[in-house]
Amino acid sequence: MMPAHLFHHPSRVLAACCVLALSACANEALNNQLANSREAVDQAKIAGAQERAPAQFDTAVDKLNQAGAAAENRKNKDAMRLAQEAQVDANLARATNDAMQARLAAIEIQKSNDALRAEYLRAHPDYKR
Amino acid sequence: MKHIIRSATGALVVGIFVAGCSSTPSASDQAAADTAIGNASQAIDRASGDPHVAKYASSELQRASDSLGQAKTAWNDKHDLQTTTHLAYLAQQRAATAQELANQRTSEERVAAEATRRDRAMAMVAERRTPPAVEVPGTSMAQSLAGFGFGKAKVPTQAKSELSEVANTLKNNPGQVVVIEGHTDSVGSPNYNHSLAMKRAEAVRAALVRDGVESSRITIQSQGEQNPVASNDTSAGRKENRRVQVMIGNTNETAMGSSQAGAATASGSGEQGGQKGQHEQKGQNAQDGERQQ
Repeated sequence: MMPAHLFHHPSRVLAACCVLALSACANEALNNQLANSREAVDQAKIAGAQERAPAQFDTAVDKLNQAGAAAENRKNKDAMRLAQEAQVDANLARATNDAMQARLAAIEIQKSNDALRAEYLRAHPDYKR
Repeated sequence: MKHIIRSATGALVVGIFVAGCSSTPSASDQAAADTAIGNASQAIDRASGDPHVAKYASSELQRASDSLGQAKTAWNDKHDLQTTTHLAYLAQQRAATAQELANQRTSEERVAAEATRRDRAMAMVAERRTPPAVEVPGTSMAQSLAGFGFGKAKVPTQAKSELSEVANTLKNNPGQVVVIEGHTDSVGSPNYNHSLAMKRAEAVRAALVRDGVESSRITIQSQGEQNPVASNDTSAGRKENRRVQVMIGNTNETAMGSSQAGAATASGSGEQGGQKGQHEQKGQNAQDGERQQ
């Protein structure tokens, strides 16, 4: 049994509350980070990073899973670190994916423009630029 | 004396202990931290050197620099290798992300520039391929006002009756529009003939406007010497060629889709010579008119 006099002093009650509040804060920060990391991975997946940036995408998923496992085992510090890394990995996967898509689009339209130009010049040999 | 030595030894032991704990990390830890920070610094330097990153991804690059600063602090102040490598990793990935964001925007800029190029090319192709710039949807009446004087743009007297017929048709059908096309014979330079043909078309337009036709319903264009209806080898043929062709048609709202046929007949007679081409043209136009109804 817990001795009743332990909480008689108001400062001790206060201290106990602070400890509880701090750990609650720590949990909330970790939960927020895990949610943000999950969101980043989801966004990368929707964008198509699984196909266009598979290495970075897989790293992000691995770290997110490890972060979840660490959080379950109350290794909050590890969980936080892994979740943060998962987020930057997912962001990089998505940026790589988007950059590649934009590059492909640029190549595509440039090719079609070149073809159009060649066709035009064939039809109008007199045309000088 | 003895206690001095003892306390000195104690201080030394404490000193070594403190040093081992925070001041001098193991060589392998130091190397690991140096590598992590070095890699991150390199990635950030590379990204900073790219002007597109500064332009398009400066905030991500800033986050990378902040993480690198925290990594250095974590190492210098606490020799906390795990935190240092973690923060350095964040810095490195963020620098790479900044680079990719900049690459993306650069490619998007290229796409936009190519799209502009394509639109311009398309407009050029369209401009050159459809011979008359103006569409005459469903031409319902075509008149040829021939017999212009050599080098002259004055409407010939012999064409006055046709001209008033055109004016009456337009006044009775306010929904119709008219295209006036000037032509010349082959004497003179193509450039001169082009502007002379335009002047002939302008003269006919002025006459129609005088007769009460709104100028907003009139479109003029020049075919120069390109589409003769008679031989340019004889004086009679050249006189036939010095003409203005008037085509009356319905507006786009009332007739769609037959503009190609109208446009083709306008310039189709080409080098045929004689009156044959023109007869065909009239026939075609009559068919168009029937199809409208």
